[in-house]
Amino acid sequence: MVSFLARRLGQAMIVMLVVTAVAFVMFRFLGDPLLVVLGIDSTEAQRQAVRAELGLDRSIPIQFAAYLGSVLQGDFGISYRLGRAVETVLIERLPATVELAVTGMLIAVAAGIPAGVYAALNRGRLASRLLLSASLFGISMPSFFMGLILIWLFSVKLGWLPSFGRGQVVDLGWWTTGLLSAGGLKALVMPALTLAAFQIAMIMRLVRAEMLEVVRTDYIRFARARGLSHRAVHYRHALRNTLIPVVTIVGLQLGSIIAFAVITEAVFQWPGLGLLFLQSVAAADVSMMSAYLILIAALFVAINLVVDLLYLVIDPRLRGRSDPAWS
Amino acid sequence: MTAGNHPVDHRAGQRPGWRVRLERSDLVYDFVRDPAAIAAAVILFAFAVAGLAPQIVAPYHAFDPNQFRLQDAFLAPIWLEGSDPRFLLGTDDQGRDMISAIIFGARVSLFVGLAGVLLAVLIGVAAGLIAGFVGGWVDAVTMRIADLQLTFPAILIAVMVDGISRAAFGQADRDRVAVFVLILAIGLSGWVQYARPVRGATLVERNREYVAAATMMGIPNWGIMLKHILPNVLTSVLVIGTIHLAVAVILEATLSFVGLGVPPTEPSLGTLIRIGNGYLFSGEWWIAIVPGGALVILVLSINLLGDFLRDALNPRLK
Amino acid sequence: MSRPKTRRPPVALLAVTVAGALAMAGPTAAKTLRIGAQADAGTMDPHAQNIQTTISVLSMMYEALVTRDKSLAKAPQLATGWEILGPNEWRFTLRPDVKFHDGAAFGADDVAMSIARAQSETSQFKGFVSNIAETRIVDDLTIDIVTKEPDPVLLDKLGYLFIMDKDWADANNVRRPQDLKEKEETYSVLNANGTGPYVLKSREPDARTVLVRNADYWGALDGDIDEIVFQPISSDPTRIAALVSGQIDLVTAIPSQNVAGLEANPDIKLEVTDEFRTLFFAFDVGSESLQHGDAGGKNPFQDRRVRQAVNLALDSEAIVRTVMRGYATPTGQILAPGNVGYDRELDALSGYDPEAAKALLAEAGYPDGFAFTLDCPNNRYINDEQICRAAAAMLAQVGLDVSLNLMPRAVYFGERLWKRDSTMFLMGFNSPFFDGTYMAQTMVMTTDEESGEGIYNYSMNSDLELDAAIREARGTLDVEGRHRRLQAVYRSIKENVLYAPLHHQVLVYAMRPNVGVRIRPDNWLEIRWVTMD
Repeated sequence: MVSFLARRLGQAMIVMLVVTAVAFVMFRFLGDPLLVVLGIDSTEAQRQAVRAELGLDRSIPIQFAAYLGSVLQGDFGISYRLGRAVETVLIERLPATVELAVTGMLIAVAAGIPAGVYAALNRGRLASRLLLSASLFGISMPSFFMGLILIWLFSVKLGWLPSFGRGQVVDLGWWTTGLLSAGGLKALVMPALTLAAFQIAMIMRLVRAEMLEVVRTDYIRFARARGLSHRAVHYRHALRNTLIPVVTIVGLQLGSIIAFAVITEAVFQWPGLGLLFLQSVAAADVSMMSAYLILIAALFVAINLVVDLLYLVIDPRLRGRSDPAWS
Repeated sequence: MTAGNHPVDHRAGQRPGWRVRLERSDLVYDFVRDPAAIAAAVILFAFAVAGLAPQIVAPYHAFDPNQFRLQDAFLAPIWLEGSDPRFLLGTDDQGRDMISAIIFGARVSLFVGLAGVLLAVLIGVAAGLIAGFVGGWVDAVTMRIADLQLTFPAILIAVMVDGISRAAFGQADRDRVAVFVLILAIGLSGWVQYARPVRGATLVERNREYVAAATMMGIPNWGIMLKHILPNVLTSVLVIGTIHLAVAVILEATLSFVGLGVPPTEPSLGTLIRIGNGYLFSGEWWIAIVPGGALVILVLSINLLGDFLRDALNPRLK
Repeated sequence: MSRPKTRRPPVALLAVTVAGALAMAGPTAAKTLRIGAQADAGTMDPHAQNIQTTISVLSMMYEALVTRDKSLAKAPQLATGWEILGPNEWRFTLRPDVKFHDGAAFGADDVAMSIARAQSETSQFKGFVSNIAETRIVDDLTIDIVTKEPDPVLLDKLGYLFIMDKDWADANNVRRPQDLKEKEETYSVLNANGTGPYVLKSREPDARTVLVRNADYWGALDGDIDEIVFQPISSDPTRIAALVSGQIDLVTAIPSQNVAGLEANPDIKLEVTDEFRTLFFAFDVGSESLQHGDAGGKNPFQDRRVRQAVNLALDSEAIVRTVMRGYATPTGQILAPGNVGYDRELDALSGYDPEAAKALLAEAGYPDGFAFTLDCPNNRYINDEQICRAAAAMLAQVGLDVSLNLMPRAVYFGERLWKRDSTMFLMGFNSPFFDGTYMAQTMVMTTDEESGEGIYNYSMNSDLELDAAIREARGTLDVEGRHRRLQAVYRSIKENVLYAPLHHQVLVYAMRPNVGVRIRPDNWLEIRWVTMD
């Protein structure tokens, strides 16, 4: 257990180092933040001076060491676009993305698991087939396209839901939430649905496939042979075994959903990390882009670590196995 | 969206050879009885033909500036008022025929998707074979990298590859290599799902007697691997690859839509939708919706076929 | 062209109900104006960012010595009057009894500090005050400004110089605009303290900025709006959807393709004005061979005939009709109407004539054309990307092998124009002082970084005769004389085909019917003129 943890932590460190290196490459080569710093009417001499002042003329290993050093101290520099400390802005934007991602995930789980179970247990029935077809649509529809169609339908045509932003946000001091006001909840509906659509379809297909596998195993056959009711077999035994890999994937998908929030946030002008990232790309605000990458990577690594540990707790048999059954 | 999470069973190591399975699974018999699969195959075939010979199939060469005129811009599809019989699905903001734009766009999308998947297959199969065959620390390192990679969503890897390419080529010149950047991003983000089953199959085969015998007879290792192991994993690779292709096409469209993918001068379906996006609420909705619809149909067909292949080649799931 | 109906009875009904509810609530209900814009104000610091959106938003909180009245003539704001004491010396009388939002009194020391602040290294308004040699505080409400050289547009420049309270700046350690190199946040980035009609209530960058009415405002407002919510929505369709669905009341700078649809919508009102901005293509005429392209080692754009061929190949009327939907005026020159030096005759189009263009290219020695890269921004001007895609097709139709390179503006300026590394590129010039001097001096004159001449001369054009003519015009204080001299300058520019002009932009603002806006042609949203019923 301890060595497992140590190994995973070691890997996490390596990942973070690689991501930091990539972030640095972007930081160093991608951007000339000078347009933002100096304005449009600067002279070449001024630009040279600023380059020197920012240390952009030092050798690359030295710059990397300096960058790594300041990142380790939690200093990601200053956003040239916003003129504010990068970490402050990231913390400010985090709640919007987390609320969107978690809501999207909850919707996906709440809809995807029952639908998957139903489709597995009622194979061949019309409703089950319809569900399966809908799930195919779900994984075939790019989320940005779906977002645009939702806006057109529910904002422009029907006027029911706001087309942009978080609506009324309540500031709790350390966290801003849109979940406490009607306006905030309304604003959340379409982005969360857009984000959840793909995940609903995926979780449903996954649950269905796993359930079909499990139902066929000897263990379930024995249970049936023991004379347990279908209901008991399906829900107490089969579903539980199905859920182990599903839990893992849901955990891992949370990372994916945060990454995909970039698209949803752009379409709905949701003021979270993803939109921040795209705006930073457009403005060549490299310090912000790099920090976003590092933050998201850290998030993934953390989620992955937790999922690994959970997995170990749920199913001790898997200790020592390198690739889990679902992969 | 790690495609490896698709509910595809690819513990290929325990399966009989692909020829046997192909026969046992009655692929053709199943296919003929599955109208959805037939429809999907027909649509994909049409896209493939159009993509291979767009100059012949498309009514106009969508990207030859001598073949479109600004005067023809914003013509509606034929069933709406304000249309022109020359352009069945209308024209875009530059006066390009939408049908032709979609054919040329789908060609770019499919090329990027296929090449990306192919790259992923190459990397994945090679890594899986080597890891499984050599074993030891090579195996350990490869599989650790695979583990780590799996936690990173494809879109994030694509964004990172994109960032590095911008750094390497300069923001302004990056457009020229954009297509290859996307292919690389798709390849690098998807190889793990192939490496795992291939490694599994290799591990099983490696310990068989014929491999030991072949080694003794002096047949080089790669010969053994290719000849005996590859056929066993082919079906898995095919099934995963089909679903991966759908994911890759969506990934390309998504990145192009937010401006991180193919430049507008070399339109893919994603770029066409991005261009049309500006006209969505100005009355000319078809500039976005028509290529969007084409994209959904394309991806849906790939997924349908992928589902069919998975079910047909994996009798346990039937 | 078919336009799907945008009637939606339920929404219209809803809008009426909401409006009715507001009306019934009586005069005590707060009036909130929700503004949607393409981009956010970048900072709350009045001297840090010379970008129109930032200036517009800040002008609701901060004020300058001079402003413009509805006829666009210069008018007193924080100064009640001024007189010229000598060629280089001006005296300003300041408005008494004006208070900053924090209650501090406004006085001459604030003006002196603000000018010094704008002159500091980290200010982006250095160019507006670089000609000021010193300020002399005569008494609390009188200040003298001494210029280095006679300055005909000093008042116009001072119209951009917002006044900040000296004590506030000292107390919050913001005597200079933020130094991004120091990697520190400063107080003035998120906080504001001006004399203007609205007070900053809350600021969430990129999301919303809320302003409330300054109860002690010294001046008059046309409307009685209590609260302003400024929200950036960068995606065009999302922004339009927000307006149509009633989530915002006013959208500035509507993309031209959305105008017709909004016009047909009874819940939306439009205001249209000619903008002081002209779009044109410019060429690298300084390099000996093409930087991006291949013409056998030569630079064809140094040949007037090639530039003229480009001019003839571009159908600016078709671009205006189709890409701009008629919301622009095709032109044959680079200076917009309303500027000192504008000559209506120069607006005459060169005419679209692809055959003549081909003939000129052949005559210049390029019968088969040549290859080059056209650089364009994709988020800077109205429909810039579409304009460039159309132009690239038109140039290809006369045999030129054009590769189009579209970039976001940060890259466009940072990587291409600043480095003088572009062969042909799109420019849109807005004269901030309503005077052609500025463009001639900064864009046409030979680059000399010391004096600030030719800092926007990305064409690397160098014509000493023209330089002399511009200098002469610049030094002419009398408006009539300067006007005539500038007309000659712009005539010579046109005759030389230094640029390929496209059109003067038109500004369209869309709003709910109860909102009234008068648009300034420099796209400065003047909040004092906005009304709401």
